[in-house]
Amino acid sequence: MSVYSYFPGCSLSSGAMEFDKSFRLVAAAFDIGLDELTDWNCCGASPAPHHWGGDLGILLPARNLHIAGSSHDSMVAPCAGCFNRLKYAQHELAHNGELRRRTERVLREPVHYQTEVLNLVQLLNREIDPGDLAGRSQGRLAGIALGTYYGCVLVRPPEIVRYDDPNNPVKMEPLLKAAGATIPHFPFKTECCGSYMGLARKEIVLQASRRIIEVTLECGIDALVTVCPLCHQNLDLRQQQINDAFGTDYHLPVLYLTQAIGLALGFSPAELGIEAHLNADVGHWTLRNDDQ
Amino acid sequence: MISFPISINEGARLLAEIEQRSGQRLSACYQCGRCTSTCVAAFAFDYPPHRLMRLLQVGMVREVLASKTAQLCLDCMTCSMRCPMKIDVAGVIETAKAVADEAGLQDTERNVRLFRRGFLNNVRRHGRLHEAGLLIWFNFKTNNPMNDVKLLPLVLRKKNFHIFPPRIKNRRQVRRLFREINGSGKQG
Amino acid sequence: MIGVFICQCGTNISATVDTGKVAQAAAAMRGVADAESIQYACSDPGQAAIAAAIRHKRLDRVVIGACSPRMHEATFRRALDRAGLNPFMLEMVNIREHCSWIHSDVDQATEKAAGLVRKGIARVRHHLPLSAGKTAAVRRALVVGGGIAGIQAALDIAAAGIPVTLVEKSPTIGGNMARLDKTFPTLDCSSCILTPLMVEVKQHENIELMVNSEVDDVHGHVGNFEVDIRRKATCVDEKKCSGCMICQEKCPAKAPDDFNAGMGQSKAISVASPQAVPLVASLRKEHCRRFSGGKCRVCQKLCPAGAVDYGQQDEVVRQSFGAVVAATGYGFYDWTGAYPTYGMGLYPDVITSLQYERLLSASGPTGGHIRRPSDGAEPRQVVFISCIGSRDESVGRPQCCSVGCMYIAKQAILTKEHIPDSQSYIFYIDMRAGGKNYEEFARRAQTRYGTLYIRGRVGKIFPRWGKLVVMGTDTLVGDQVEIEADLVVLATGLTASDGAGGLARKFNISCDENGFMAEGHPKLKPVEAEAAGVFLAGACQGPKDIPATVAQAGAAAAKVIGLLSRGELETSPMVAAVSQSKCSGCFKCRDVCPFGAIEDERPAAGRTAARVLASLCRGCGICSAACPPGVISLSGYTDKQLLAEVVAALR
Ligand SMILES: Cc1cc2nc3c(=O)[nH]c(=O)nc-3n(C[C@H](O)[C@H](O)[C@H](O)COP(=O)(O)OP(=O)(O)OC[C@H]3O[C@@H](n4cnc5c(N)ncnc54)[C@H](O)[C@@H]3O)c2cc1C
Ligand code: SF4
Ligand code: SF4
Repeated sequence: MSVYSYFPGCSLSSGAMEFDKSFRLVAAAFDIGLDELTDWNCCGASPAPHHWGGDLGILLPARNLHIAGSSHDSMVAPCAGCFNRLKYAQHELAHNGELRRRTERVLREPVHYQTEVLNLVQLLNREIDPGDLAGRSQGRLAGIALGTYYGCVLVRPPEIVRYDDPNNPVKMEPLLKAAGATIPHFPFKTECCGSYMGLARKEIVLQASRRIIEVTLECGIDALVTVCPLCHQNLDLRQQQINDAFGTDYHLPVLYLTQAIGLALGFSPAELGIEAHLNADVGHWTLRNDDQ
Repeated sequence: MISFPISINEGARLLAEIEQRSGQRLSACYQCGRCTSTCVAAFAFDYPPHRLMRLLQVGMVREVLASKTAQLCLDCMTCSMRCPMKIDVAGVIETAKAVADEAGLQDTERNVRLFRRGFLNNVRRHGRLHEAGLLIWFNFKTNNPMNDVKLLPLVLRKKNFHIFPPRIKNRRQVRRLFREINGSGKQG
Repeated sequence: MIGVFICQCGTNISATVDTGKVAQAAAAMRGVADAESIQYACSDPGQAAIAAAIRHKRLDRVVIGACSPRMHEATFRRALDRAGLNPFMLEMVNIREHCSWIHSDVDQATEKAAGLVRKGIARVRHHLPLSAGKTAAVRRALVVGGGIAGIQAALDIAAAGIPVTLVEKSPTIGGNMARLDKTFPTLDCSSCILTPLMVEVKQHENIELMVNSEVDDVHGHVGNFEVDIRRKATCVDEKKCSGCMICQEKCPAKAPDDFNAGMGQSKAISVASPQAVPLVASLRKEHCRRFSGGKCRVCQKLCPAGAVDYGQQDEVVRQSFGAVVAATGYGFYDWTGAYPTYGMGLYPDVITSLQYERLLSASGPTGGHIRRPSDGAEPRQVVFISCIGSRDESVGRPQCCSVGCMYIAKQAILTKEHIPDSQSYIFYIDMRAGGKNYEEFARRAQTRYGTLYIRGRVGKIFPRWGKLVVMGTDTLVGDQVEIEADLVVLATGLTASDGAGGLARKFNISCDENGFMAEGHPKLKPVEAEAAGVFLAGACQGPKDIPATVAQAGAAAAKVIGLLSRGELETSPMVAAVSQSKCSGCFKCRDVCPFGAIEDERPAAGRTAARVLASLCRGCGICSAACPPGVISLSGYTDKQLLAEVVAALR
């Protein structure tokens, strides 16, 4: 069993606890060991790199890199935002001696920043054999069209995250296809959902996310799949706000990747925390297929 | 009216600083507007990304530093990915914003700046984000008590949701991280 | 008695190199009788001054420090000749490209120039008078590529009484122009002006037309290129086929329609188009049922002329030519991989401009009615997007396609003429309409035909409710634009045509960074390739429109006629020679010679020695370096000359 240092981040430990829950279930199902970082702190999310000159956007994740790096060679950050911040910090610490010195002044020891940082898709692609998944999923997701929504921070900037084709990412597909789902062409898989403006400038989020949902439905997609809690918040939690603002009547489920895989493995929506979503209406998928 | 040459005003110095810190060739922009075409926030900007690039080219740097654009840009990098001249437009905006922060030149989009500040102060206090705390604080500060409150019952369905702040053990170290940036950035 | 002349080239050289000082340094060298700095050595007064010095100071060899010998060596050789000196007693030293243009420090550039001139003087001391030989030139020209460029060149050369072989790789001549509907800026119908020329090629007594053919292999040089031409098997006997198209009608195997740029479908056996020249069917084995293991022989059974022959083999013919015109035209940039936000080719109603030409054309798949591919509906809102794969560094293509602005304007006009209640939108960055009457033409697209020009690029295209949403920017308004389009036409950039690179290598034509064939000089040798006797015509040299293509083809033809009408050519005396008495007969030289210019000879009984065929030798010097006993010397580049130069350089 391979063991990874696990950085849940703030979202997975509160507002997106169902992401954490489903991740742990799927990890256990495939014998992936997760060792949560002790005493981790917030990675700084979107505000840190954009305020007070931006250095906090490096210093905050640097502490987490250090904790993980002190005990593990590889770490996983399922939240796309945390993953992006960790990769950024890793890049800056490697190339910016001044920032590295400042980090070490705070840590009071040489910083371990070279541990491998994986996002969720990378980890699952590495640890799950699609054939195995296909065998266990028994076609539970057959006929379900899933939209792979990568968002911004998982794939950009490409020279830092070094992951998948930034203009047309496809790495989620093998797993979801193995889970039995179909993956239609979805032209908005890397368009921005409006990021962290939900509280302060709501109309940016509502307009951006509405567009994504609209195109999703136009593509004949039953649900979106994401690994970003902020995207999830904007697309699912705020869907009623979108309907209120634009007079629409959208009911589009948005799943975390591990929830989609969990469904394929036979876990119930409740076990996977899908019932906590605004649009939780996915129970009939597997039921329908189980009945057959 | 724009007066040339721009070298006579402060614009030239700030411009050089933005070019140098962002590492981008501003002169490469040929104003095709592709950056603007798919920017999801542009409708809320005062200068869409391509116009911001043009303002910089002609030395109108103060306008850029004080712009809504600098405050509202999401750094989603959609523009950077689409620029045919391979300019990291988001990086340019980000740099302009950092320069404005340091010079204390921002005077717009108070709520957005307030949110970012509140977020970071929240993290400084607990080491992790306390979402509920941030919401209450922000709504109080902006005099908008009902903002997003309807979402709370939904969030509360998630059993883990923290009503009380999560706290990490080594909060002192996190505070030291914050103190470390005092030297370089204004805590405005 | 050596004369040294240092050219100032106006300020081109003198701004960075102190030519007076360089002359002074030269004057101090052994054997230098005269050293001066001249304002423009190549000008009439400059050449006169050199000639005067030769006569008055009795110079017997000359060093000129100026530009590249590629530019003016011939000029100064003629000057020496006129002054009564052997033209090969000249040594040119390049102090412009090698010094003044690339350095900025005057002292250092001057020192370097003086050093280079010192080398030249050391070398010129060992120059020997040489004289150019003459060889007969084959009076026949090869034209490769049968687009409008190749057609025009072939007709012009043939009209001068020189026989031409025109080699075209596809089944018909006409090239891309044959696929266009009407042409800017006059809107004449492309076929109407092209077809008569195509027929004339076919009928001309001096032109041998070879379609489905490609150049296989090339030997020889200017005056005598020996070329192997491969005629690819098409399973149809060209002489018997009457072009009745019965085979195409009855063939059960569908195949992509290349002529229609993938719009519509063709058959495994087909005639490229109703206007094809020659009007002959050809069979594409990769799509034929018989060749993929089936039993079908429908075409053979039904052909009234008995022209179908499944056993036909490729045929290679060798011909000799005195000169060659490359006219391989252009290809199209494949946008699908590079512009993922435009749908990667997944949206049937996002098409290329060439595909749109076929939709407009009466001989196209829709009979000249504009019908969009997805559902055959007539589009009302048509969006054109310029500069796809042009002026775009993010896809590695900074160049301008030079015809897009104009053909988009044309296509917008034609759209309005076909569908009067349609509206066209053109996304552009800059409007380039530099040709005669072009600006007026493009203006009419706006004023008379109501085309809306939007200055900006498009970021994304996606489908919604049976339409295509085009997200762009109007940079003049400064805002985002969204258009619900029925059809989107992409003005894809022009590339060098497939296989142009391979042909270029065979004829030693160099290519520029974009893959287009390079002219000898951007201003002064616009149709000459660097290899002697090879000329360029049309879009193979760079994207261009039809008027420019035809003009260049005519110019290339004139060069060919000029070259071949004299009957013989001067050969360079700078060739290798073997000192046969010292030759050991190892023939290393024959192994290394790239031009096959070494043969064996028996100078005395029982002994073989190498001999250089001067007519084939290109003076590359490889043999001379490879010869173990060192008995091959290259005139103009003898060991003595080179060593003297090296010694002078090291001093
Ligand atoms: C969409 C579009 C619209 C246009 N509209 C206009 C217009 O309205 N007016 C205008 O003036 N110009 C127009 N042009 C430009 C015009 O097409 C070109 O100027 C012209 O076709 C160039 O002719 P060419 O003979 O050089 O090349 P091509 O037409 O490309 O011909 C080259 C020929 O060489 C053959 N060939 C290639 N390689 C080999 C090989 N190795 N061996 C043998 N044969 C080979 C090819 O099969 C082809 O037949 C347009 C271009 C495009 C793309
Ligand atoms: S996309 Fe690039 S070149 Fe075009 S306007 Fe924006 S910054 Fe300038
Ligand atoms: S990075 Fe900023 S300017 Fe660029 S597309 Fe995103 S929000 Fe718009």
